[in-house]
Amino acid sequence: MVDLVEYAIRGIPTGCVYALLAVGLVLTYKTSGVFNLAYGAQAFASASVFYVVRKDHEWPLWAAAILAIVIVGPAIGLVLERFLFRYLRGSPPMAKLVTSLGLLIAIPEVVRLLLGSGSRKNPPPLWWVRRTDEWLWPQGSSVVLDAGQIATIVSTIVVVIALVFLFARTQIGLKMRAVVESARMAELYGVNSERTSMTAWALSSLLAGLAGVLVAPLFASLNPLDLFTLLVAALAATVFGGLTSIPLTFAGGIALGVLQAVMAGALPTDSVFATGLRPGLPFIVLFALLMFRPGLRTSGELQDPLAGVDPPPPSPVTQDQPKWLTRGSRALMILLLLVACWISISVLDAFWLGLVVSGVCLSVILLSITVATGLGGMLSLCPAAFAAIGAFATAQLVEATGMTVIGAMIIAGLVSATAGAALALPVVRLGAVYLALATLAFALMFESILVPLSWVSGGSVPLSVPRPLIGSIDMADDRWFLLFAATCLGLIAWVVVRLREGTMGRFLQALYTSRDAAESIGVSATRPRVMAFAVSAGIAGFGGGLLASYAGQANYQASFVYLVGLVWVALVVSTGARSVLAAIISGMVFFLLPAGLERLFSWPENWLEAHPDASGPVASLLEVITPSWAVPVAFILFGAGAIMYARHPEGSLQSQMSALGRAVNRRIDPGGEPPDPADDLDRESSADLVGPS
Amino acid sequence: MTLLNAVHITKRFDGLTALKAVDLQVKAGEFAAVIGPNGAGKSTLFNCLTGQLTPDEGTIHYNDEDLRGVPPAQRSLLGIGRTFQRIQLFGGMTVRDQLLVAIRAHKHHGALWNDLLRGGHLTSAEKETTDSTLDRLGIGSIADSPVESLTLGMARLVELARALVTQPQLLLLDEPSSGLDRRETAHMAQVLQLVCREESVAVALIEHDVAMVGDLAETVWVLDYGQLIAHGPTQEVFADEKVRAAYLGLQVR
Ligand SMILES: Nc1ncnc2c1ncn2[C@@H]1O[C@H](COP(=O)(O)OP(=O)(O)OP(=O)(O)O)[C@@H](O)[C@H]1O
Ligand SMILES: [Mg+2]
Repeated sequence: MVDLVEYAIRGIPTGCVYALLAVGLVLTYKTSGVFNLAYGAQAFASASVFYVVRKDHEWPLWAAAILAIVIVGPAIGLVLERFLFRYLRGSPPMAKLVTSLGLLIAIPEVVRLLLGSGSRKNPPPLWWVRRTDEWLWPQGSSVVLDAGQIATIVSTIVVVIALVFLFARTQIGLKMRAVVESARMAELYGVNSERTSMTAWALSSLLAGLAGVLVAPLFASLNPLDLFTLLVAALAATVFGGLTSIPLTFAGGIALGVLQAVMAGALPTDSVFATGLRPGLPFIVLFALLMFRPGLRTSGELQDPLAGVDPPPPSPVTQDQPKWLTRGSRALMILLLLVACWISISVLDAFWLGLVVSGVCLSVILLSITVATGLGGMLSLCPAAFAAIGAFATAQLVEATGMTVIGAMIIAGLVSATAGAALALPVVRLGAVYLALATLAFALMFESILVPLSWVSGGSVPLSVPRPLIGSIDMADDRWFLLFAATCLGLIAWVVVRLREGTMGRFLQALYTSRDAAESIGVSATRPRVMAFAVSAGIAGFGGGLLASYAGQANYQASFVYLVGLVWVALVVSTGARSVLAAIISGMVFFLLPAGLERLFSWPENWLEAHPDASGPVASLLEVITPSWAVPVAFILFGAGAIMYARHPEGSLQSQMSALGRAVNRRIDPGGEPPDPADDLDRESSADLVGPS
Repeated sequence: MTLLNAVHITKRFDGLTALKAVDLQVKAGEFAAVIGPNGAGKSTLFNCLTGQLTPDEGTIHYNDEDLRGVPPAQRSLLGIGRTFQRIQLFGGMTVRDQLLVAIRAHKHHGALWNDLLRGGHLTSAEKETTDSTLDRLGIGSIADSPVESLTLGMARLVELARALVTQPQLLLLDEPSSGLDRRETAHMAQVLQLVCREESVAVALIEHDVAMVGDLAETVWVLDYGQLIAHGPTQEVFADEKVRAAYLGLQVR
């Protein structure tokens, strides 16, 4: 018993870390209406600035802290508010979530570009004492807290008390909540909504900065992945507080830390529980809370009380694309793909051919996002997990039964589809934001609990997967494999188009745009969505097997880490969630853009080498550019795409197509604008139509 | 014969009791109206009947079948249709598609392989059904317009058409004339009368337009602050002192 108490006390510092992060998220959500996944990236930015000025430039602690937390933190927040989130106020929760996803991807890369991309070992503490100095607490016990932990505990408690006070007692707290609920309504009462919302963002970003600097010393080196994973763990506390209650969130964070510490102490260290469950615990708790916390179906999706006076929100599909354009673009797409295949096979060297094949395999996986998010309207954040399930299943099946690789891929797709259906059954009834969180929790549970198991992933050495062999055609040749992969892609694309245009697509769209109405005419709220989710998981699984077969191994770390999946989602959704072509473009871009940029950025270096006597501003400008910019710039572009999603919810591809359609229509029919359907149905004529007969 | 029998329905939202032991009976083919001031709980009552909300207490029987635990979609398949106070049409679809979704949901046409093997194209039978339904409401000409282009009056008719195409026995209408001008309201009243008389669909109508209720409804149920304060044949209820005090005021002489 005494032991347990001690373990519990040990959990308090960790609990405070969770609580601090979680409370910051709640603050952002309460004051801006955005469930800000980029919070972790903002924390990373501040922590990086703190690291650079403190360690590299050896600033005094107070100056470094003021710069990183008080200046840089809020500055980022203000920029985000002014240029992005201000325009997103009335948007659906999914648009805000995707935007924050884009920021999550782009911000760390911007930081890397600006501050250099070297690894940052041993982040400095925000405390006067060095981290190794240990304090005994409470007196006489064997629990040891170091200075950093005490700093965390103190800051967390101060922050929580300040925030509770802010919301309960001050004008500005009240105003922030009013603006989130309805900026227009608040303005009618004389609240300056813009200034209020900027204050809110500055405040929550300051907190992100503080959290980042405080938490960074927990890790051996500073990197965004660790910070974000910690943030997802802290989400459990956020959900415990229902996204709104700060005291409850604080309690949830502490409880989570204590639970984790007690489990670590109480469970045998050599069991599966200790190795898998302990790191996975926060994600299990998060998932369980999402499933069982009452009232999550609709809460958390704030509705502007004035929304009733608005025209209906734009839907993900636009109607103003003429039929011939749809057909024409479809024919053109097939033609282009065939030509691209032919060019790849006959022209490209081995390096680029390899990238193209990987791109085709990835495109198959990305079509799963088209089904779940584009057709189903569900922002699933675990496509990489299903792809990994498919890759592992393919490898294990081939190894255990000696079956053909193609057969194994198909069965792996079914396995993955089953897993998808099992996940979907509890998850699809959740509201948009919570569904996204639940799938994120699933991705991390999978990563922390199942992936380390040897019967899943083969342990530390990746399982090998052979290439398929059809008759005498050996796919070991990349050119044959390209044809094979392209055929698979074509088949699956056909399936997706069929579903989109069929009853399934219509049911899903009906559920997405008005769930109550869809149910009122007999469309089950769960069945179509569970099916879409299962189909999506099946496609991802098959694609995962394909990618693994091409790579020769099912390598989780190299291909399927959950963060990579988030990049995929951001890419597809921003290019065009419902479009097959968009998925294919995304798959290609994902592999070709970084490689292409690397070639581009190595050009100045080569040029300088060839002209050693060059000088002047041009030369010094060229000197700055290095090939190591390629990956950061590529990811910034990926992220920027998702940020643009805010402006074109139908995806950039679709919006370009619609613009093209309108332009061509004008050209064909110079008599004027294509008739706006609203024009010939104005009040006069409609009154005639429904007038007394 | 009683088609819908709701007994002692109670619904609480946190501190607020929106419905206190409210009863509602609708006979087959009957035209009933539910009236009451704003916030009386009328829409909440409908949401309990169609399953969007779960009542805290009380029972609902439809055709003698207990509806407890029956999900909303299933209730539609049993024959309850509805429209919404705030119009709910499916975005990004044409008017015809709205009806098509309803038809296919009732034909259990949702199977995956159906889409894959045959595609989801409009069949000629479906086209006929949708056309005739829309024509009956006088909006046949807008069948292929996107819903985003509709005026409020049209949108209300489309919503009604979507409910009708499922061939319900009971139609719950939540303020179908709100936001419409006089001509549109008159047309709506005509359509409703037609639906109830000629197709013998039972209608329960929430309406603030007392004249319309007087013209159409055979029975009236009056809610006030979540309580049923009167019910019975329309003229009797309109003469009731309590009802006049709570709601009608000077509207009816
Ligand atoms: N989801 C909800 N959560 C909390 N309170 C609600 C909810 N829905 C309705 N209410 C409250 O219940 C009461 C009854 O609302 P309801 O919409 O049923 O009234 P109504 O009779 O339809 O009014 P109106 O004529 O304005 O449409 C109101 O006080 C309303 O604020
Ligand atoms: Mg109402």
